[in-house]
Amino acid sequence: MSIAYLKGMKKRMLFTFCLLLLLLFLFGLSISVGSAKISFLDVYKVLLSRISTLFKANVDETCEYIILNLRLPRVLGAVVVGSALAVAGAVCQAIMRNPLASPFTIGVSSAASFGASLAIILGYGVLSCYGGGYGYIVTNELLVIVNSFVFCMLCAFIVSVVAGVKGSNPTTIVLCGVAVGYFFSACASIMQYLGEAEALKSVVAWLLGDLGRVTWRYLPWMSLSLMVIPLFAVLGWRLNAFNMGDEVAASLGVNVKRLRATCIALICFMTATTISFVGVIGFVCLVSPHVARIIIGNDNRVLVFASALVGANLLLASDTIARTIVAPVILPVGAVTSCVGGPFFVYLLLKSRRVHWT
Amino acid sequence: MDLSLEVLNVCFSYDSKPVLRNVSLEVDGGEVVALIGPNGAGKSTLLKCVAGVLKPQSGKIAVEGVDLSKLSGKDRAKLVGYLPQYIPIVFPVTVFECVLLGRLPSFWTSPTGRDVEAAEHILQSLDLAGFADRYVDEVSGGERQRVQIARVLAQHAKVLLFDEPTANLDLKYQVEVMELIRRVTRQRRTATLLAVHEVNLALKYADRIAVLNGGELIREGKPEEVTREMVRRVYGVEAEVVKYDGRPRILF
Repeated sequence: MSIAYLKGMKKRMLFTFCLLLLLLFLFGLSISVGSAKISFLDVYKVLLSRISTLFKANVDETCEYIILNLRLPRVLGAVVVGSALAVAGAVCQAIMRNPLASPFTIGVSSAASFGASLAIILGYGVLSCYGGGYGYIVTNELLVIVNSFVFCMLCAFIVSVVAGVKGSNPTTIVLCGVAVGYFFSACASIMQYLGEAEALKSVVAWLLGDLGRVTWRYLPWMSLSLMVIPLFAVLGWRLNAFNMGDEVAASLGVNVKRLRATCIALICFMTATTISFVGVIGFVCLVSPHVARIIIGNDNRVLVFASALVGANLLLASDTIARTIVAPVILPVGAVTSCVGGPFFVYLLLKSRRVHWT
Repeated sequence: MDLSLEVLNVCFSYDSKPVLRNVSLEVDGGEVVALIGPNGAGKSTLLKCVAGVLKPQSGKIAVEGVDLSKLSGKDRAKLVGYLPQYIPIVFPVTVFECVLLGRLPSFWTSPTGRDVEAAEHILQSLDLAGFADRYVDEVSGGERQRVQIARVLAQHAKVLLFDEPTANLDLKYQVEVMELIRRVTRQRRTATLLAVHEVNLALKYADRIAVLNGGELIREGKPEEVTREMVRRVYGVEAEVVKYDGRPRILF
């Protein structure tokens, strides 16, 4: 029977590896499609030539420029954002013991919207205080990013403190997050109500989410969110203990309150570092973990990686569709993700032989 | 030899409402002690204090002479195993994964080959080998309880705590679970403390009975020492104490 368990583990690893292969394929495909036609193989040639001098690209310069400076950042952005949000969702569901939980249900997205609205409409933000005095110009874009990040982390702080104090009940924490979320979205609504039409349009555009905002300058910052993934994998078995309830987890030596509060802070950090740059892209964080659960089960140690890859694939596929389906118009990726992911998820729900959450 | 489990003058209160008052209790290795008493008497709270889920405000809890409050959570979990009354599984796992979770105190990030072997061994000894790949929400109530007991046993703890292990089980499974608990207590020489609602199950299977009422340990002794007056005082129920199969039972 342990052989069956180990076999099951191997199957999960294999599936995760297949997701990785799919991602590599989608990666090339996504870069190759667009207004300038680039061959699928040229994409990999150019990428490989950049990694090692052993490979020669022999591709014309315009092509190389388009690949490296226009499309690659966007595609990498989709991978980073998709995987970070999916992992945040998976861990959030595990620690709250709630299949509906995600970083967005604990108020992070509303906090980000408020921060962004504040910056776009009033042109005022956390950085403004320093802007003049230290002699560098704060661009509007940077203001929006820093503002929404700071408000995300403020929300994280409130919810983790509540978790630290009232750690015994995950439902209390979710409710608290929902309340914090309502508060921030009300503040954002007031901002938007008062805002000028032009500013309002930018706010709506920001809220819809756009991976086109990803540039080489921002990518290193966004990738910080991925650093948390291995940490969650290390904590995987402790997260599994949450599944049996706080009492069992505590009796197995897990410091329930501390671990839950830490995880909330990390989840909010992952979400904040991604959505501050690209805007509110929902749904990936709720649905990717469930897709992974249906296929590989509920062992968080593997689930973390599998969710990350499902999320990356989903967002990358959605963004490719968003860019190409009615080109040259680019549809908002957040909306396309829900349009693509929703029916796919319902299909999996119908097809799945058993219930993976109760 | 040191006593296996020693609870000394433990007091616990939720906010300012005292739930346990100066409770002292000893359980030897190889012995099953049943906590009985009405709802709200503090049975579950006492078990949670020993399991490390709650922190008593005063008093000492020691296993083989080692003060549990001085140990890390992980080291404590190697000594004390605990099965709560209700386990809210939202994301079902397989029986094997569930039992493997009991090895959590013994490994750092991932179970090793030895942990997998230990889980396998426990499943075999509890006749659960055939269920290993099934999901915990797919097995019957009695089997699910046996899986949870296997999970606790996988900890290889010296002290076993069970909170209402027979709740919601039919008569067949009640007997089966109690016999299993008694069997493993004898085989592994564990100090076993359980909270029981069904007084007759306690009288039939426990070596000693401890009676909690209003947060105080009012009586402690052999099942034979349970009297009609005691049942009236603790539960407010008129009952007849009779002997059956060499042990007392109550009829009401």
